[in-house]
Amino acid sequence: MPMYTVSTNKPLEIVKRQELARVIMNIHCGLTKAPQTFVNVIYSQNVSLKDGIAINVLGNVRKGRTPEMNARLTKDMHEAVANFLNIGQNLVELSLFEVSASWVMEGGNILPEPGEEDDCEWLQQQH
Amino acid sequence: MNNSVRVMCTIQENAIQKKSIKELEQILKSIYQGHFGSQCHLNFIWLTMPFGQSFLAGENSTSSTVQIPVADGLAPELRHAFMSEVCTQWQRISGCSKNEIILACPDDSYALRYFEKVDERFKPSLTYFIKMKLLWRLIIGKIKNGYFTASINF
Repeated sequence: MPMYTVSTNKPLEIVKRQELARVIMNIHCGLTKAPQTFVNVIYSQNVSLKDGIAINVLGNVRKGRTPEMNARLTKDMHEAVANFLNIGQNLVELSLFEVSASWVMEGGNILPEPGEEDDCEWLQQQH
Repeated sequence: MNNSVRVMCTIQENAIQKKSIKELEQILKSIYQGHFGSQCHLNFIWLTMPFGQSFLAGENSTSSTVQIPVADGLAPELRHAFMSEVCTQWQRISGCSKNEIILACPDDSYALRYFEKVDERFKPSLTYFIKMKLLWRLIIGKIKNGYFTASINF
């Protein structure tokens, strides 16, 4: 976590997929200070999106951040995705969906709550 | 909680052998029923991702994502004991490392809301058609492979 699912009708080139995954990672980690190794991005293609939408990004993120932080994350991510693809922001649909960290296991361990990464022993051992 | 549990597994294309997927279905069902009761019935959906559609830390990823809902408000110690067993058995059967499985065991009501959220991206007038198309492809996958499977690409 986070898990960002990027849906498009037409496939993005593989190089663009990787670059966009890095854009998403950098925005997410830059704002939330989450470890980069947490950031998953998957692509779903041939999706019939709503009229006027070129790309949909659904971010499944850990619960526990402030509403202000989530609003800023949504806004900055929205802008970054539009800028990267060189399309209008009105063509990008982006939303976050929060999940409790204690419901998710990665690397065989339960995820720490947001902001508690520095106190997380198994995470510190990995870095 | 409804006794019918929708298990969503998103895996890399060709990463797990057919026989291993069938074994995973059996063992996950057994673990689930062992923890939460034999009345629970698991329905598996296996979505496959072609290479180059999944990234972790900005690099190509080989991870599988597994979502298995549990009863709302389940105590953390019970939830985590179940999750640990699932992770261990998944690694043993699939041959993947512990870093190649992302396991989510949310409350059942959360999982339902999440699936609704996922469906919201579709053009409303086509949502029913898209669901029917996915169901059809899952059935074809079941006939061909013995389990419900389709590509993540619609």
